[in-house]
Amino acid sequence: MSFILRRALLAIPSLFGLLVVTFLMIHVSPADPATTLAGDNATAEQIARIRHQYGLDQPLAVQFVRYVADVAQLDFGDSQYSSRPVATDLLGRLPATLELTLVALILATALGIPIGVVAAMHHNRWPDITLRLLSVAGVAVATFWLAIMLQMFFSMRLGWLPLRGRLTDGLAAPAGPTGLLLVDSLLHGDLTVFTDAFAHIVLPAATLALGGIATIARFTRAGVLDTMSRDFVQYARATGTPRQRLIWIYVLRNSVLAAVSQIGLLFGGLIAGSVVVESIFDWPGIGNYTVQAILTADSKVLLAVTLLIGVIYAVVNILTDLAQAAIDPRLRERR
Amino acid sequence: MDLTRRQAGALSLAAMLATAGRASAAQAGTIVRSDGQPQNLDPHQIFDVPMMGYALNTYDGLYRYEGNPPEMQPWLAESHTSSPDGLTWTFTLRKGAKFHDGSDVTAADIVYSFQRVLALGKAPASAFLPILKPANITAPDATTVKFQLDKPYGPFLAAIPIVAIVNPRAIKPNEKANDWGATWLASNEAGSGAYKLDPASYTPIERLDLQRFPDHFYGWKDNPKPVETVLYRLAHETSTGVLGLMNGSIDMTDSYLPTDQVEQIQSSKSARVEKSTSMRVFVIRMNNAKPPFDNLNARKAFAHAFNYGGFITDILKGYADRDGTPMPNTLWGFPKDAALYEYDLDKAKDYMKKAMAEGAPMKRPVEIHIQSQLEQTNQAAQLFQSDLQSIGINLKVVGDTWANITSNTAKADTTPDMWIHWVSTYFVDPENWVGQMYDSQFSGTWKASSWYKNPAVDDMLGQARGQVDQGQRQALYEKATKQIVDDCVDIWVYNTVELRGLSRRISNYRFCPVGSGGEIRWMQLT
Amino acid sequence: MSAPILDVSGLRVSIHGEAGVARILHHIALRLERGRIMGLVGESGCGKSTFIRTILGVLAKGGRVESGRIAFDGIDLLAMSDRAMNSQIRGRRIGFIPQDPLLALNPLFRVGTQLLEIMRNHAAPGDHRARLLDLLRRVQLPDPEGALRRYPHQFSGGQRQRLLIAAALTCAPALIVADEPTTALDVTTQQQILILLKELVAETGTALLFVTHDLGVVAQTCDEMAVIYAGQMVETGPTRDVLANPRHPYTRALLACHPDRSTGFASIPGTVPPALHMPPGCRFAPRCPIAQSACPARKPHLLTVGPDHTADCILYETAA
Repeated sequence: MSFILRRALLAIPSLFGLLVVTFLMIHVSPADPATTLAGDNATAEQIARIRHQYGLDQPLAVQFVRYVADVAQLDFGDSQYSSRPVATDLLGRLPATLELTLVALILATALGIPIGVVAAMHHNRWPDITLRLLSVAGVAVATFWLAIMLQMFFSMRLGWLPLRGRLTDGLAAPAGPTGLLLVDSLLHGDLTVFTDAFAHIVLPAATLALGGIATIARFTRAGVLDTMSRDFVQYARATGTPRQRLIWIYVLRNSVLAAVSQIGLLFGGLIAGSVVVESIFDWPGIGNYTVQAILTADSKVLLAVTLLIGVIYAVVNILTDLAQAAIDPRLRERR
Repeated sequence: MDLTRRQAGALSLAAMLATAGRASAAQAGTIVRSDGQPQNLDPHQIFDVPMMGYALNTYDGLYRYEGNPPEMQPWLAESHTSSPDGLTWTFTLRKGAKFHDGSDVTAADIVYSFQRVLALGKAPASAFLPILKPANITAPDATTVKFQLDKPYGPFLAAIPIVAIVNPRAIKPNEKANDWGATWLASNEAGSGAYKLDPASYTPIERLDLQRFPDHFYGWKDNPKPVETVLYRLAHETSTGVLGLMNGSIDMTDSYLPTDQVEQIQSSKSARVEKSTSMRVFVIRMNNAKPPFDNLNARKAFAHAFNYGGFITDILKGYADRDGTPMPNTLWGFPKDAALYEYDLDKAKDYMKKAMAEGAPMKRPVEIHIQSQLEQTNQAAQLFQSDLQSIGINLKVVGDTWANITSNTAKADTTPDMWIHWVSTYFVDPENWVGQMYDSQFSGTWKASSWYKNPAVDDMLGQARGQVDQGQRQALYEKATKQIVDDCVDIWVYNTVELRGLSRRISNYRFCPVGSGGEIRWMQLT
Repeated sequence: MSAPILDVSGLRVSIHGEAGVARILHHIALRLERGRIMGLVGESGCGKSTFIRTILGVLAKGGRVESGRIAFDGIDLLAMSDRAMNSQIRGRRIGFIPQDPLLALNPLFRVGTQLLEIMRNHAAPGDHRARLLDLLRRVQLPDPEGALRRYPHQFSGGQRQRLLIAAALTCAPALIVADEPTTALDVTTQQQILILLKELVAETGTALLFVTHDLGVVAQTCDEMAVIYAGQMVETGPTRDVLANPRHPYTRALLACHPDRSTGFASIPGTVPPALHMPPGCRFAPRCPIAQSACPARKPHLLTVGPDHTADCILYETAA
């Protein structure tokens, strides 16, 4: 517990640094939010008035101090685009993005690890070579293209899966507690919503997971190959441990250590990738919200998103460390 | 057939998924539209195409534009009179119009609405701020509203439909610190329109639901099968929107379909494309303050080097009307006899020589800024680049954003050499195009980013702005426009044909350049 | 006298790699009787570990048995499938004690889990945990209960080797092969482990094939010894006889350079030939002080040089 607390405290300076850099970058960019806000037909006076109203005419340092003071009180300000509180809109969208990325992560892990193990067990034979070709393809294939192919096939031709969105109109999302539809619907015993939400998440999660499957498979394969040459595997073989048990229990645990640190990195990649996926599948997450904010130079939103992603990164890092410690007893003692 | 338990499980899962997959099929009385929401829901803060698509349904104005070309119709007001000097305007309200909360629309509410627009000072206020003081909007009685202008303003009547009438009884309880309820109305609705918002459904960008308002003043006798529920479900990607239209999960796309999608949609059983000439001109701007664009012959060289026909025929598949002036060719004030610049590289070379003889730096690399997320601006720039290269002019294409470009147009030296944009219908009056684009008093706004200054033109535009008589104004605008075309200030390419994908369930689609056909109340469902 | 527990003859093993074929073992032969301890001595790289892997059927990638026979309790191990080896021999009838007890245990699993895994696969049904605890007491591991819950890195080297000895005994095997089990330990611990091993072998009646490069350990522990050089068995016999009267030039040289046995430290001139380029005939010939011209042509085979004492050298060809 103290470990988590310590790590969390350590994250604060990094987040502050992130904030400073983001703040500077946003304000160095020449795009003037006041022009956007004022609308297409605004007069110079209108723009000046809006600039004053939003405090954009203050020196940068003053703006920054004000912002940090607000953030310290968990006030992230209002979006210049929608005039709504950034925190409300962002938190309303976060569960959708988290659900998408988590399902993609689970998919990538659940498929990537076995694929990697099988490839390693058939080192340099066809399953391994196939995997290597596919993993190159998996990384190289444009998300956009893949998504449209999946839509064309599963939504248009077969009509099995919905084209877009997160839930069919008319179905009510269960009230909390997590905001993750798959979890909440199960907690409320609402199978209709669960099935519908599941059908909606399949294509976007699969699209998002593809690169991750390849990455995790690659790292697992390398890990298994490395582990297989270690003495304890020799010993286990020499003492007659059945091959399947040896690989899927004893070798695998040693092999996933590297893959787990990849999963941490991958999560960041998934959040980034979700921007494209959310856009294609009209997934109501933070990706589309952020794109809108970039196009309109909506600084409050951009800052809050940066902070949020920073926090997610920090949390994922801590979780990765905890996962590794759960796998490796030696790491537990090193804290 | 024997099934193992696992096979049976897989089958039932597939069946469940298949049910869910089709659940998006059309519901009776409901349409799903995939075009964008306004930035927020307050019609006094935002004024653009998405806002019109929303506010024309949820709010009413004193007058409303209908038809194509648009004509002003009595709406909440039955009629108006104006004094001969053009300073006093008096509107008479119709009786029986009700807000969504059931209360009557009164003259005091009209006064409140106009005063709120002026106080917020956002986009919809632009036309009124220079000529109208809040105190000069009055309600002599419950059905009369009087406007006393500071100076005569020709486009005043044309701008009247801009202002959505809001219900102060809904807004005032939600005011915070003199904000005129701006925060509240950004996520709520206080109108009298044919549809009302379900505030609980509102998720900015993604979703928004409207319900038909049975008590709308216009009544529903004209429409036996109206749309009961409108679901805004933004399709972020055109490809998804088109697929949704074709599988029936979307009934109405935005009106900017890429021209290469038209044929595919037309061939589908469930959808069609509505093609409507709009009032939205496509302009390649030239920064007249920067050499070589300060030279008339240089500008003419550029104007003759753009392949208008190729662009419209090949890239836009013919879905655009060639328009060689800054004015939409369907609007009064458009000079039908203006001499347009045609695509002619020989002429371009001649003008280039003349310009160089006059010392214009034609060999200087020229930058053209495009709006990266709008593919058409890129296509136009690429086409232009290849033609210019063949006559020895080096054009560099620079990816940019609207927010960035319009910030940079505040000063002549930060305004790009060239950039590409459209000018849409803000209000249906030549002032919206030629008036605000080429009167030098507006230099520094994105609309007047050519930095053109011609005292004769300024004078004509000023005169046209200052009077009410449309006949006299028309002559002035035609003359000014011809002069601007002669001065070759910019490169004018086309007037837009808007392409909107519609489900075949929807009939009686009515397009008006104001709102781009987003007004739902006319639509009938079959 | 019953059949030997291990009877190896004519064993040739090579490893096929990218660089070519390494003929690691070339004519290995030995007999080990039940309940006896045999020391297998040789320099590092002479093929001792490959020999053990061959017995256990866990040759590294590319390893191939070219010829020969390994009879364990009369069963031809080389004819058995990998699956059968796993279920009937490895860990069940042949116990294995590895060289480095730290590397041999999986660092991520509790010791109890790993030892019980071996029992799960091989031991007779019953209360494995109780039997394991009993074994751990017999190998004198402190706090056996606690030990099961701990991880390999939480033990000292000696403790780990006790664990692995216990592991080898879990299924009461007829043979234990130990690959330099004390090399990684300090001298004091080494002594304790050797004494323990010897006691346990005596107690359980299992045979022990003890691989080492340390002649002192052999002298102290083994009933018999076999000397291996560059993949060839050069001499076998009762430990006392071989040490007192070494017959093969290599054995002699080896004894001469052992610090315990001579006043100075002599070393054998030359180096062990590389595995990919073994000399023909007697592989020691290039380094042999008394090599003859016929040595490179000689087909290796052990010759009787005394009671139960054999050596593979051209010297005794004529004598026989």
